[in-house]
Amino acid sequence: MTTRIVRDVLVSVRSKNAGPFTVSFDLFFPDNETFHDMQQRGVITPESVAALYGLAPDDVRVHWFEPALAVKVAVPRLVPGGAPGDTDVAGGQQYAPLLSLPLD
Amino acid sequence: MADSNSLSFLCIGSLGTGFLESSLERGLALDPDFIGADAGSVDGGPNALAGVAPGWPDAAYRRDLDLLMRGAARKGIPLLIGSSATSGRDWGVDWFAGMARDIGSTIGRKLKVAKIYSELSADYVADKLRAGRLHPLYPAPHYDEDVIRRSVRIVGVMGAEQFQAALDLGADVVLGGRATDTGIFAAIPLARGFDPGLAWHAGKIAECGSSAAEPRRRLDVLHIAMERDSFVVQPLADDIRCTPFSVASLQLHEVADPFTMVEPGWTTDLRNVRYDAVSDRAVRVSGATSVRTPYTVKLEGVERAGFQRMFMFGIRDETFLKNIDGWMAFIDGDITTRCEELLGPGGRDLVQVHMRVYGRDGVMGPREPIKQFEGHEAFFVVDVTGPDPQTTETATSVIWYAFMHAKSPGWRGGATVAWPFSKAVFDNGEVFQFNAHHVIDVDDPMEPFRIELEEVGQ
Repeated sequence: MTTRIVRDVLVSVRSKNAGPFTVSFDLFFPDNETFHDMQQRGVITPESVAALYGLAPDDVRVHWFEPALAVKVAVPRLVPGGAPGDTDVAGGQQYAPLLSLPLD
Repeated sequence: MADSNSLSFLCIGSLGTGFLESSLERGLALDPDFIGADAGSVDGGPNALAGVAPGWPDAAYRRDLDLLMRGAARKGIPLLIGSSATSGRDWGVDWFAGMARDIGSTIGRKLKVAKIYSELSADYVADKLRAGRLHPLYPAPHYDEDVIRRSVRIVGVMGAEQFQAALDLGADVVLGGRATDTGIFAAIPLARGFDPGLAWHAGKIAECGSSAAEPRRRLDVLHIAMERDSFVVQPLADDIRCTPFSVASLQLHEVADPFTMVEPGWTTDLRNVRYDAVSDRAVRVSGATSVRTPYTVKLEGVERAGFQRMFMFGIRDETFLKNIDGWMAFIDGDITTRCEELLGPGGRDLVQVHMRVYGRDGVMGPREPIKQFEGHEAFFVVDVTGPDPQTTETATSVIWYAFMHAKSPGWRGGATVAWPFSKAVFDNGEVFQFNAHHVIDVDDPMEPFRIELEEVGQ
């Protein structure tokens, strides 16, 4: 059996700057059951995101938002949006590593 | 109007990116009380605020502004625009005012246009710092008087009160400098005595126009109807609809915390909001509460980061691809030597060099968790940022030449890389970076802002 990953349980994803110093990712689940399962599973936590992005857990904010069946993850940007050395001015692709987190 | 129990408005999410004229007409047929349009964004980086270029060309803004001004004038309702020309800098307000003058002269009636300027002087901001009335937000870069003095431009971000002040002067069209997206839409509902929690929450849903609807097609006009205990959101185009999920998702938009909304002078608690379908295309929203807070104004600032050139090339030879870092280190010695020959001792350190290897970690940079490279080709984008155009040009030519006929540890000689255009090196000109994520305490909401009124048309 192949390992299920976060990508397998999402219907939509959005990634964007929240101001020039923060990038945030919204991961949308298809239904209440998946949302609550993912919330309880502990796959997307400040600790797991921090480990993936090379951050301290205190730098990561995770909010589970039931009205949109979504989890929001916010992390500081490496450099302010558009500064020399930036690779992603609007923060549009920075969510991608989250998709590969295994569910189990 | 103060005792009215309903009020409605049309929401344009991104002035300059268009909307359907038919949707605007449908919205106007519903007799809205005002039209609000957000023109701002920091997503494109510091260039707009620095003054390199506005977000969109003249023709794009002019088309949208023309339709909105005509529609608002025909219905006799105010048009509120926030963050003119993307950054809200004074030049953008004046640019929009010029268009409003042109458009106004063809409408056939007199219109009062209020311009709200939001640029702040370095002295004003430095005084706030010294008085202990400047505070960091999270995450904030280091900020001191030197940073303030070297800023190319600083704007204050207005909320609802500044739009209200312009309307109190009798403005038909308000061209705001930098504004919170929500304040544009909350101003009139707040002034008409609607529940502040609902007014701010409606502003949040309004700020991206039809992004609150699904499926996502083009940005279009959104309609919001305020009532005393809730508000109703619906799109105006037939092929999109609002659902509780689509509207709720806007609560997540461009914020780090979806449950608390901090605006100038107000904080809104969104923990207990409800989104209920009222039809297959409209959603009723309720439950937000707002409280008054001491009035603070967020700063946005930019400083010069230098002068930049860039070049790009591809690599197909696996001899290089197997050892990209070793290869780049190998030629770095040549770069240092040649920079010193041309720029003097320490010449290499006069410039910052950033190398992005697409195919490996060009998108994520150091945050790429997949460390090994696999693939049969890679694309390199290298930029060089120096303190002045001459140093940058010299250093970039050296670095480009070192890559171009690349020596390789895997070959006795070297190889030439593949670049796609005859023009090999591109001049990015002056480049900038955001340098402030702070708020200032103000005694009065208008303290950092200036309003000028002018009459257009006849």
